[in-house]
Amino acid sequence: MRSASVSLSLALMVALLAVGTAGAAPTLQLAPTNGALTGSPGATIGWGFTITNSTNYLVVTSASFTPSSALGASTDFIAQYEFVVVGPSPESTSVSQSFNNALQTGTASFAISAGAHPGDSASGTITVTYDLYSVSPNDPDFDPDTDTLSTDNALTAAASISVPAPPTIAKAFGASVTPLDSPTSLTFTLTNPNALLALTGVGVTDALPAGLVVATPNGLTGSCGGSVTAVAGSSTISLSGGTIAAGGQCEFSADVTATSTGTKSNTTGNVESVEGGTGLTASASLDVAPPVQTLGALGIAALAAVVAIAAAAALRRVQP
Amino acid sequence: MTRLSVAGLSVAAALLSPLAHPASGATTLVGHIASKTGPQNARAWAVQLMNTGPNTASSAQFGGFTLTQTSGAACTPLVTPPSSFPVVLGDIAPNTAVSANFTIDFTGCPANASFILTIPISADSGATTGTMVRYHQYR
Repeated sequence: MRSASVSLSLALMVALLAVGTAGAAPTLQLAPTNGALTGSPGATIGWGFTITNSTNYLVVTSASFTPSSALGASTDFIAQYEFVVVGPSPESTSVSQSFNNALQTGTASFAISAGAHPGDSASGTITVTYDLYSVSPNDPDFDPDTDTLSTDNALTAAASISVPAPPTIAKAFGASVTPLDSPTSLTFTLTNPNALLALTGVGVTDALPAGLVVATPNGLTGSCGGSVTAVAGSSTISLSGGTIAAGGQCEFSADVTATSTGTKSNTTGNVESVEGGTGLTASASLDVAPPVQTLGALGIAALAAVVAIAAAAALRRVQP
Repeated sequence: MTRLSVAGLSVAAALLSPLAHPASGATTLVGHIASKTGPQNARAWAVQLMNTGPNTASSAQFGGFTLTQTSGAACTPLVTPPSSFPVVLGDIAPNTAVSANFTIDFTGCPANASFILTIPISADSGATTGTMVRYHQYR
């Protein structure tokens, strides 16, 4: 009885293994692999694909992107313009195409509405439908009446579209009040609000107000990459060609010195990037106090003489 | 390219429709070819309409059934819908599907004849509309 049970179990395992090896399910892989695309308003972007299928003949019959919100319109490329058959020889068990809008290759295109705004996004699902045949439709002996295995099956993949937002910028002096001619730092903090997209070509120019110049030495530091310019004695600090990781921050800093007293209000130019376009400005102010009066060597000597004379006079008064 | 149409519906706009399915609106309808069976002269295509939205789709219907030939020697399939167009499927509750069988006589069509299937879909008195498009359809 036990022997019969073991035999039955083994037979079942063999059967399951046979099913597992014979019927590997078709797969869809988008390019990019996470399905996340970014583009500017009015741009047309899209996904590439890799479809694998090894046990029969798969014919792609449609592709669509169903977004969570209206951000534009998608067009089926994979089935409308291509005849994709995936399967064993003489076909290929893996077929890939990169997206090319001009050649109309890839899974689907997506035309972002011209009225979309930076920061807009839509997520959803790409659905590729396919029919399965036991003989390739490219085979002269193909007969759909007898060779059709199944119709309108679906492969799905998560996808998203987002319109990049520009970087944001904040700035701060090292102190709110500083004496005349005493250097203090001026730090710029740039933030990338896009969770999935790095921003490149990040740049900003800050023209210092009258009475404020880059200190000597300039105390330059930074983590934005690119090029930071702050020439000692000049009145301009700038960043060009910077990069900020997706969802990240970077900063750069230089020392400045006031050459006149009063409140120095300072606003940067607009921060910009290649992907996100032009962002806003940042402002900060610095109060510059008059210098603390100090005694020179002559003053100290005179003060010492006065103290000595006073002390001598005091001694004379106390002597009998 | 041979364009065949039953019910006299223009499909030009449907073919340009960027979203083949599902239909738009609060109701979400997804078309699906469930099966193709039968002989060449009486091929039965079961087309299913599924409501994947949260609300009942009222008076769902197929507005047409068009086969546009894209390859193979030209031929003229004869489509017999289950009723005159629009084919009314009735109300479809959430997460349920309703099917309609279209019988197609492909006599004279070679085995490699390929078609684009286009079916306009609507429900909720026209508030929900869409088009189901399937390329590379063999008989």
